[in-house]
Amino acid sequence: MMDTSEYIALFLEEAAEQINILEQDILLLEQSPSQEVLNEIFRAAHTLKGSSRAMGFTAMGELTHAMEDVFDALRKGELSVSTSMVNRLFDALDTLKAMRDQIAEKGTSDIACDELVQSLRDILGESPSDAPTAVPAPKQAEKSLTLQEHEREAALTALDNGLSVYHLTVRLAEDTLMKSVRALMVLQTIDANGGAVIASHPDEDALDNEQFDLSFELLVATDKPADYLRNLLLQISEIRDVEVAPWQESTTPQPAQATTTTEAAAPLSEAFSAEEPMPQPTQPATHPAANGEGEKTASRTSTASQTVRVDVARLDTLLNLVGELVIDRTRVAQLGREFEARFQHDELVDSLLETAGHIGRITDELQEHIMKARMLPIEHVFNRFPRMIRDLAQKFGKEVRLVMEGQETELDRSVIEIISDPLIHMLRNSVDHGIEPPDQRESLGKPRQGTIRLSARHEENHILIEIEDDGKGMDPAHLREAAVRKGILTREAGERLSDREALNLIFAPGFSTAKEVTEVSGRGVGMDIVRSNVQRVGGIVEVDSTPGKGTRFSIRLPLTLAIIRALLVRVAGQVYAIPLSSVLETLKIHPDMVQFVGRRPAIVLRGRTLPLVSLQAHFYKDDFDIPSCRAEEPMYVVVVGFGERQIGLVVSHLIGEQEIVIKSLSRYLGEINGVSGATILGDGRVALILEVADLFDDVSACAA
Amino acid sequence: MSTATMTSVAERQVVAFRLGNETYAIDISYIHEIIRMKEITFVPHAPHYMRGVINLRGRIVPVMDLSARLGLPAHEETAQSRIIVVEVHGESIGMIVDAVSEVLRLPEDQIEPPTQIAGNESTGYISGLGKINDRLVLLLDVEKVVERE
Repeated sequence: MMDTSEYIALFLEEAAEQINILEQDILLLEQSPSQEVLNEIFRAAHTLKGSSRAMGFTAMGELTHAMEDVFDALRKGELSVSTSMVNRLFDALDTLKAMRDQIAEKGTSDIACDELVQSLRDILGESPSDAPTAVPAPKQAEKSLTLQEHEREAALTALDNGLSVYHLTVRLAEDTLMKSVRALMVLQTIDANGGAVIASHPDEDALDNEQFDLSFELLVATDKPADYLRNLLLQISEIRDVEVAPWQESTTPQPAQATTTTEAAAPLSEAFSAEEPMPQPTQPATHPAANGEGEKTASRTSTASQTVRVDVARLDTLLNLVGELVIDRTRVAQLGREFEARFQHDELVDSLLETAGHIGRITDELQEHIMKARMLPIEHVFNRFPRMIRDLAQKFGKEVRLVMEGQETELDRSVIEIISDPLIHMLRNSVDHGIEPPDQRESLGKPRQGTIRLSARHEENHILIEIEDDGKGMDPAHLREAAVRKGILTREAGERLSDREALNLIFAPGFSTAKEVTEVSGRGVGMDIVRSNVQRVGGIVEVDSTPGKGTRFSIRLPLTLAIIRALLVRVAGQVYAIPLSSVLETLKIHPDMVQFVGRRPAIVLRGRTLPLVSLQAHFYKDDFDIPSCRAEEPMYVVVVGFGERQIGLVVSHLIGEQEIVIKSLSRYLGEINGVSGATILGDGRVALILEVADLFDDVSACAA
Repeated sequence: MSTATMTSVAERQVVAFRLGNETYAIDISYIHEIIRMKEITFVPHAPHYMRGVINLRGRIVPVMDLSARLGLPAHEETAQSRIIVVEVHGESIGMIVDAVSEVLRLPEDQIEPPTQIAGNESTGYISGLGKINDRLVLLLDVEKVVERE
């Protein structure tokens, strides 16, 4: 038996991909079955079946095969989609996932699936007789590729659409150990490069089961040139030769065309047999130049795939290095200005400034591209939601339609990891608490089916994610009352809250409006954790709701966590960086404006009381420095927001805005209240980055 | 780490430095580098013995006041003051010392266990007492010193 370990990583990754496709498509199937979806779903199941069999995971292959049979029956119109069928398919899919995970972990899977396979067969009304062995054998006898009517049509359509259709003959090296793996790799390479296999000889089942000699034929539609396709396939090891001939309508079904290709192949095999005594027969010999394109043979290794996989750690290192460069760029620009001030328009100074400007632009671009390389489409998170919503809706007896927009919106992978759980929580809330039961909706004059809209888009320097439902909404009065009842607020404080502020009560720790605790949500922890998760990555979550109409959550997230814009301020002779995402405005105020609420300093800003926190007092345990306020010097206040709340940070000086690279403080220092990390300034000094959320704790006593 | 030598007794190579009136030493395998004093950014709310952080070629490295850590009386920084940057479990940390004197080779049989030392606050951070000629050298237990309280 051949060692399969080198393929297993590839297999696992592809299995995950196919399972993902299956999940999405089964959902689509339930909502709006179309021939297109059925074809895709069938293909995915088929691919998965083939690869798991080739890797020796027979149970997985068996289960996928049973699924595939169901899809096939659907495709042929012998069956129609039902909820129970979809549930069974999902059960099977979950088992496939579990199998895949187990293989990833232990290299093998012992999960049984006999019952599931049987339940899928029951759908087909089949007896438990073993179907797969019966089918493929006779087809092997056919000599060459002949087209079914629908295959011929597909090929013609492809031609109409400006694609090329090629007849491929793939020959494997004589001692190929796992022929089906090679065949699969050929099919997948074509697939991965935008090609579509219209037909094959022998058929794909036979290819899977190694029921072919050393060659097989494919009919492929692609937008790639023939040579390109050929070179791609020749990179797969143990592929001895690939012959690519353009297909024309009149040709294939008749044996004539097939013969010509075979004839063309004949000298090739001769060439090969001449080479056979070569010392390394396992190494596929360089394919011969018999097709009259001799110079192309060299390009075999030069045509690489369009993408490479890169370790995340390597990207992190790159980003760190770019971070250093960003700092130096700032420094160089600063030096340039200093030289200019000293020497005016000396020729050398001008040339230095010009170079500094150029380095600056290049650095910006480099930074942008590396950040982009770290980006993933938010699809990675969104993908699992349709299934989740379906299951939840079923569980709660609701009818819910999930509309997703902007799945292609990209954001930094570190942000993606963090945003997933909050989104799940909010979506569950929407299904559980937001959307009304169908009958109730009907009596309210709403469509029975509720809609949840999940969208993502770029907005300035942020990503905006919105979750909007057309459910029952939230009543501020009701929220106020609940908060008072739960002791979160006093009655008076509750009455003082604006409607908007009352809505924000749902983010308060210990607040839950659910009348009864359900399995899914409403345990009283939830939205406060959502908010703290979002804020941890420098994001903001807001809620807007109209009773009877629905609720909308908006989450604003930074594009990346590694480099941010910050306002630099000076406190007690040291520079601190305040993330710009939480800065609302800066004020220069006269000390007379400071009032004391109890012992807390505050100012009145546009009719609202703004509590003040002196950073000096916070960090250096001084008292609020009033004597210096009494002096006639103005005070600088940075107004920062956290959720709905705002405070003013008193600083000694405002320095300016700058891009900073976030670095973590050493674990030897532990968690520092009020500080989230550090950064290196243009002059090489270290500045601490403020954790604005911590500073709000200082005033929390007076805020409620 | 002790390097192989021709003598039959194993030796320990240490970097010796001065703190107040006493000579301390750190096993050389921990030493990352020794730098002159540079501007330290104060970190509020950090443990009292931590001075702050420095920029060591783009890395943020915390710096502790070793005297304060060992409970020794505070004293002035001089031109001889240095920051010894050690690396423990893959993370760097700096220690301010009064002066770095030399690299010493201590024969293992000249190192006594710390119980022999008169009790002061620093005892817990001492792993051994070395003797070289007439001089006493206090061997620092680096891992214990950097551990957060």
